[in-house]
Amino acid sequence: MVLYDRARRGGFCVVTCTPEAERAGVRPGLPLAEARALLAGIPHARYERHDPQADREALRELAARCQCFSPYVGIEQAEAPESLLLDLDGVAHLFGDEPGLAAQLVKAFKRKGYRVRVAVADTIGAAWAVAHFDPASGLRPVVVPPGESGHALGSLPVKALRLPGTVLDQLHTLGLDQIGQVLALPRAGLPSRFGPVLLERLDQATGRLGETFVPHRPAEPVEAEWPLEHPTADRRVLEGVCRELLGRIVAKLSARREGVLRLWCCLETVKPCEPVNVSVELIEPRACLRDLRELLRLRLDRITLSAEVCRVHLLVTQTAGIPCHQRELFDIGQERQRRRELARLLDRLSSRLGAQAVLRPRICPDHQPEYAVRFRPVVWADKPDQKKRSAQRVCRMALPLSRPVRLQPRPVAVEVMAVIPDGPPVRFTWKGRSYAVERWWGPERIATGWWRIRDVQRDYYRVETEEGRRFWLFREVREEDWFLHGTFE
Amino acid sequence: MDGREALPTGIDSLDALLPSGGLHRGTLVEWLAEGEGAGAETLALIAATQATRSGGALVVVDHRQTFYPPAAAALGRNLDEIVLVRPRTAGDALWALEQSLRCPGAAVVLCRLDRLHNRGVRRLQLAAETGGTIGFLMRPAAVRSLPSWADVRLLVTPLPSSTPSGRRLRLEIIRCRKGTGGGAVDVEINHETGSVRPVSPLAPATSAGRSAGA
Repeated sequence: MVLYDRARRGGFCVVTCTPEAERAGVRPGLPLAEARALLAGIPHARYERHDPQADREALRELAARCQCFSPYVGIEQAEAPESLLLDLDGVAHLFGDEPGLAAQLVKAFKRKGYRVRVAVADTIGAAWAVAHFDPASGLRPVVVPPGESGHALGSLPVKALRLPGTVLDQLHTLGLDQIGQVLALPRAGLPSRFGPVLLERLDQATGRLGETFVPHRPAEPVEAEWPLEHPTADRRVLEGVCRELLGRIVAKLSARREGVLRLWCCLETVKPCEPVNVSVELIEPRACLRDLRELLRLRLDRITLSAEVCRVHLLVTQTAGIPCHQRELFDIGQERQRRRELARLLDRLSSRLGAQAVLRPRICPDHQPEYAVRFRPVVWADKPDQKKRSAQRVCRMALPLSRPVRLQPRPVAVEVMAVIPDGPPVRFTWKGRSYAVERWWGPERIATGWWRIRDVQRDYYRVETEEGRRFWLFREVREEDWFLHGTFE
Repeated sequence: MDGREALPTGIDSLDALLPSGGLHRGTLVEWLAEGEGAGAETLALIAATQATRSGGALVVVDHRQTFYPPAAAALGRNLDEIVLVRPRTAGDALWALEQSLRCPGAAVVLCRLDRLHNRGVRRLQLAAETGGTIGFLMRPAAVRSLPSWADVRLLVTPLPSSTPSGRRLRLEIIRCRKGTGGGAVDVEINHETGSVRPVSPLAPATSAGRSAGA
């Protein structure tokens, strides 16, 4: 798997890749075309656009999970943050000792499918340097004993000090490649030669200068509520209250530049009735007040209120960042506009008809025709389907007119008259009309395995009547009964 | 009148019959068929291919929950573009149909519509005009005599195929807004490829024994 992005010179280049790809020779910075050529032999190679926003979201989520190890978890300050900082003051003894804590961290991440390099040290600078550049940290967590940061840093390259590129170039031209060499230089001369940055980073790493990080705090839930002084069941009043609450929620979210993905509305009624819960799910994050109001109204229209409502509570259970689209000069964003309108339509339909009523079909490689297709509500997040490609192939093998356009929800028994040997009935009656079979194709034996509780063994026939109408009939092999399953509308 | 160009349906014989060589966005097309298994919806699905190719989804409003997507996939439709709406009641189905027609994100909206008073059809036509979508309404042949707000009204009659190479249907334009109605063509949907070809009604019938079975 390879992640790519636009290179400075135009074209695409590799940002990062998995160890498998690395073994084949792919490195960050390689042009994408070369990477493709190197990986041509691997059939399941995947190429995806790098999404730094998604990376940051994932990192924030991991930071939230690390709260169980330390109360202060922070994300490193960098353009493309990759590291998490945990403050272990007074925490280590809860996990035995520091190596024990580090081992548990590694195990916890491994369960989630992440490989991590862990380093424990006195200072942020030292821990960062050891985690990134000490070759031992790739195999197991490295714990630098207290007070020995300077010694541990000695053999690491100067890049581990988080210095800007210009200073690194200067150090390189002078032949100073290891931190130990820089530490040996007289301190007084460093600021004038390399600027204040070098001394600052050195002191931060050795512990002379303190460094702090901002702990990451999970975002507080966005909610709003309104207690009604006079309990009421009047729809207009409730609509007005919801409008006001939605306005407050949208204001809070727009400051964070996020949109609503899932909204939960609770109407508490005068006791002893149970509170009424309504939830609205959207396909795309939305922060438009008018849209949210309409979706909530459509949901509330469906419920009946048996008692008067005394409190309305709105809680946003899931949000997502709204990506900012830069408008192009010549607005060729018609495609995007259309997709957005479609998403709006699907949200509206799901809101009023229920999430199970607006679906996307997916072909399943199942022999039994009723189960050959699965339906997935559009509001459920779409995961990239690996099996989709193989399933599409399965269906493309079917001839164009081999499956009926309309399938009865359950096969309907039909009365038959005289059966052609090894063929369909000569005449059959369905819905009060009698059809004479003129032409037929088949039989197509569809059988499911004995391990299925209700297994079927059917011989399917495509029949064409004397008028030219086409139907899909089958005979249950064991019972010898005839059924109509579909019509070729 | 509305200045929108006509979209070819992909069925050449049908395009030849239509005055502008295709279907206009923002209009309704009624596909009439009598009885079951007539083949109208198969033609409609094939005709919808071209319209969705230029972007937009195929929305199927299926109140009776009988639409079978593998058939559409076998005809060559991309299932990623299909959205299936299955309302529980007929009233909901009508609402969903109107909302879908009104949305510019849908290219074609397909629905079986048995009975609807003319006012209802007018509402749907206005919704299609607002959204710029094409509405394919599958209706019973009994509504043939009723006045309609649809741009094009087609009648599909099944024909007994005399060759095993494809399915034969007669396509008739009963009514067309611009231009004269009354054109008819016999088409054959090929079993192997799914392509639609016109056939001459006087084509000699080849004996079934000699041709290869499907």
